[in-house]
Amino acid sequence: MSEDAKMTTPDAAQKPAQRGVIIRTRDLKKSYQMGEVTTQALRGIDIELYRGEFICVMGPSGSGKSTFFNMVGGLDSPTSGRVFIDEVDVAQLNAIELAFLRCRKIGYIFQTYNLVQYMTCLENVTVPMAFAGVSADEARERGMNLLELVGLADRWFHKPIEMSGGQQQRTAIARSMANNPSVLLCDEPTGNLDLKTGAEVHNVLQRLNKERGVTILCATHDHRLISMADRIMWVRDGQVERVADRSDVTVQTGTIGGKEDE
Amino acid sequence: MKAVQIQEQTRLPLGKCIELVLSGVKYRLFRASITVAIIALATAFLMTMLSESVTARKVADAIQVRTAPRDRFLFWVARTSAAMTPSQLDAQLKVAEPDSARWREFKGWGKLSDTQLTQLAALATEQLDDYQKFFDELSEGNRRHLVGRVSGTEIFEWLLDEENFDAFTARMAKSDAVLDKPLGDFRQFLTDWKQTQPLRQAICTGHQAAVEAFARQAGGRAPRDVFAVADENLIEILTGAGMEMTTEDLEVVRQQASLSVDAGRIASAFNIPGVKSELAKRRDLAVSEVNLPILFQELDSTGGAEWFVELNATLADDASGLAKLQLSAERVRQVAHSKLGESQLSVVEATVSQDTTSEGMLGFSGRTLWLIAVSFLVCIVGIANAMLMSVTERFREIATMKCLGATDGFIMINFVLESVMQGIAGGVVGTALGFLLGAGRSWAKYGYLAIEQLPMQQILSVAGLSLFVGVGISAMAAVYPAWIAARLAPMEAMRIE
Repeated sequence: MSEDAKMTTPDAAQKPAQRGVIIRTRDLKKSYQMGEVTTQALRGIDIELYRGEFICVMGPSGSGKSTFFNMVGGLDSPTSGRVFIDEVDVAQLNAIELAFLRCRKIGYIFQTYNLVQYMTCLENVTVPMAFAGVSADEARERGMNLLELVGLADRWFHKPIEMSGGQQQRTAIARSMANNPSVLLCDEPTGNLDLKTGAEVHNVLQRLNKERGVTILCATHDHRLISMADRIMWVRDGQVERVADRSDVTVQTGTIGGKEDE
Repeated sequence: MKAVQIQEQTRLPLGKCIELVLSGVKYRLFRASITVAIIALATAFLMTMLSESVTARKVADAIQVRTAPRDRFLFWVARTSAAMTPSQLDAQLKVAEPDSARWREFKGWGKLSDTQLTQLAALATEQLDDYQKFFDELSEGNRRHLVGRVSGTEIFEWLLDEENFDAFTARMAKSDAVLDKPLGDFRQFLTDWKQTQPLRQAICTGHQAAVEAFARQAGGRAPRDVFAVADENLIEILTGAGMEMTTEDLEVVRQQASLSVDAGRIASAFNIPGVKSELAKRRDLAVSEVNLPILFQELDSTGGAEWFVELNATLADDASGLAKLQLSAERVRQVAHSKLGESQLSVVEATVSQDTTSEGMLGFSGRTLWLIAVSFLVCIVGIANAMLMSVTERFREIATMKCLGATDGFIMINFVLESVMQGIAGGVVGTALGFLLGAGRSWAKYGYLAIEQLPMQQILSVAGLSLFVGVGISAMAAVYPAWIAARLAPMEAMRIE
């Protein structure tokens, strides 16, 4: 583990591994009790994510991808093992501290966007700021800046229902960035989008990663997203099958039905 | 490595919470208004039941006050016309206070001591009723089986026979009839009752003598006619016969008697040939359709009364004298008015006595209590269901909010606030609706008396109760699912959906 603690703003020129660890899991296990049967969703995951890297997680459905995400994001508690975010043990936090963590340290992006239907685009973006105690005026200003960043500044007054999927997902990305989190967790962010609208989301995610140095953990089957990643992690049967730098992997893009790896 | 400083999450001010809730309610206006409508309906149902009940009681009380003078008059007519039977005496003994006017009369008539009368009253109040009720409530078959064909107080006579009582005891043991007092007590009561029978008889005999004494003084006139022209002397006459009448009583009885006499005069004047056809012409009815109530309706106006007096003057035969009205138009109208009121009251009285009894909790009858309990249940189940639905269908929203940093407390406050707002809206609308419905129904049932006697004080307190139930149940019904949702890990909440 690198001990370059002096690093405060990540430098894009540096190799991610040199910037320090932001998320670390130790023997992470999760099992679900379904009546008599116990399902092992995670069978011990040990992984280190570096500050400012873009890592894609791949795996068939039922492989434990989503469970892993929820553990890392503090959305669910592990059966055993530990998750450290910025060296804080998530399992040690109480409900109110967890709310603090979710509000300021992690941004969530869901496949189904999960925007609040009755709020405008801008209101959606400022909700986490309200939870963080930011004043309304400041929240509005910051919210507009974020919308500008994702290219939706002119649509701030629209309700989710009046926007396309891509626009909704970009709103969700702006919302996830509301309190400048260090990590973005994306669960199939382009899963519900077509190529064109998906591309809008790719661009925004890439810019956030390169320009703002946000660490992005992304579960996806979208080859174009994978091609942007620094590292790729394969999960199978609740275990890490393989982790590789993207440069070591050939990803075919632009074809429909292209193979996952090789 | 720079560790993050983890702190407690900021708590949102209440104003911000209310703002968020309101924007949510505004978006789901249709869904929210259905929830509000359910709460309103349930509250309205409860409110209708409660307000109707309190109105019925108030109306019943008002009727009692209004019919009291007439009841007193009828009471005096009855007791000066004929002696009471022993069972009527028992009924009166139950309400007679020691050393009241009635009490002294009974003592005088039967020439009894206070102790004897007290024993009689105690038997009547504490035991007779219970045993009579037991036999009255037996099924026909059971009674035949237990005591044979005898009924009423004859049963007691029959049971006094040792042999009969033994047979009764044996049959009781086998039957499903339950007498909630020991048979030994019943046996004792029968003996006491038999022993005191002569005392009862003595009072009735004394009463008979008093009635006869009064009749002698009246010189063959009916009590009603005596009362109608009574003065202070009447009290002395009654005292001579062993009856006590106060000057206050006298005044009331005289007024009622004179009303009754004058009404009788009007009725006989109505029977003079020609009057009916005149009235039919005036009311634009067929002759066969006119009757006394219609006449009274006509007379309850200055014009009508004057018409009738003039008509009587032209038609009445001086020689017969009987049908001569001898009343002023003003008096005719007064009598007609009070007669009309009386008949209206008796109709309402019949209705209201079905809705109220002196028994039961809070003065409501068993039937009313049952209806209130049912409406309460409907209210609770309806509101709980509405709130449960509106929370569970929003688990995803709750989960999203938690991902964005909402604390469990915020989720709770959010839902409780929302349900309280809906509860207040539904409660106010429902209470108002229920009040209107209740008042309308009372009005339909009891007429103008219900509106005149509307017990605003009680209505306000039952309105408070319904409102409280509406708001309270809404809040309570929302707290539980919201608490469950708030405590769930966000991902679990999303999975449930």
